[in-house]
Amino acid sequence: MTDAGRSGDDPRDAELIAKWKSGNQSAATELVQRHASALARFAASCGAREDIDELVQDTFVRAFNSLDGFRGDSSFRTWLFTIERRLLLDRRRAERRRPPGLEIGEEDAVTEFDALDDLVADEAQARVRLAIQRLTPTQRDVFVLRVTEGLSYKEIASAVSTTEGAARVHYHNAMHAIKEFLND
Amino acid sequence: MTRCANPTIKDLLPDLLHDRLTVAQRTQVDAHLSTCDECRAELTILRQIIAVSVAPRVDVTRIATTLPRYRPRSMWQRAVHSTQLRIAAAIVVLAGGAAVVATVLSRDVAPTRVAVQASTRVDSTVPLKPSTPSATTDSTTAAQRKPNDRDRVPAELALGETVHDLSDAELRTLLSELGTLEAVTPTETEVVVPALGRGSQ
Repeated sequence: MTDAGRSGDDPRDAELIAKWKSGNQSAATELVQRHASALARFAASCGAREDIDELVQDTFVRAFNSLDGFRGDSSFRTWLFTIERRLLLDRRRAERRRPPGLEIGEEDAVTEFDALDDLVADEAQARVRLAIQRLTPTQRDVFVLRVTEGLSYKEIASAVSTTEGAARVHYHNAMHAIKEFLND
Repeated sequence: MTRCANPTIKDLLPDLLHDRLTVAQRTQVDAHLSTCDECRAELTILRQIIAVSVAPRVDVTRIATTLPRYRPRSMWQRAVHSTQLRIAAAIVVLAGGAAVVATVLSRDVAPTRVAVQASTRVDSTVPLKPSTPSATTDSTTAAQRKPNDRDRVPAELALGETVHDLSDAELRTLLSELGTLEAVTPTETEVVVPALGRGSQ
């Protein structure tokens, strides 16, 4: 899979979008190749445990259905993160609405980061992951976009619908919480 | 560990890891890191976080096959998504709503009245109490009424004075004149009070 770097490449994206609009469907495939990894990584870092593949697919389908509404104020990747984050929030809300009396099966008794258990064997790395999972949802979204995706505060503000100042505060609070947890 | 006294540099650490710094910024950050224990420790943590943030595998080919073909929006769809048109539509709805409310309120305020069409084609409106049996009792009750009741009759709806202000002789004259008037056609009548004044004739 081709990953267009962690910060994306705006001119190439714009070129591919124009090609797709002129009927070239392989341009869409290339756009997926360029950004699918980042979306999957963001979803996993934000605590999505299952159906990450489906989440990434839904993000792309929604994005391509409303690509006429993409004004290019932010990069294409930042716009994809915005869409994916909304889908993630919808999922979180749906999970909260799940009836409390629901039977919990054996397969549901999992830890928060089962999806990557096989990838993260090292105990120190597992602890880092746990530190991230303990953040508030907004802190986590901001922190992951800043650290693992390398977005600027301006891009983060656009993706999570907040201000640059608020994004900066969320990032520093998250960093402080992670350091405290790791030093315990 | 020495505490960092340069939050601006600390803010640039993620950009250093993603190679998003200018040459000048990079030099500045490197110089700072050589003297700041706290920032070095933070940089180590950031490296660990990036190392654990592995992307799960996704089926790119399958996702690509589910993507729609491009279909330009029709003029109607573009209009629906136009912010200016949405604002215009909101203004029209608000103005329409205000007009409806104003109409309803004005209907509530207008008093019950009887339109009397004279054969001489002089339109006049006289505020009347529909259940009034005779001019005598009307004048009696008018005298007993509180002043506020009379004040509620809008002056511009009556011809000069209201009936409450007329003497018995004036009322009798008015009622005899009313008896000689032609009936108003139903389409022109708002409220029709039957047999008005016949009891006194």
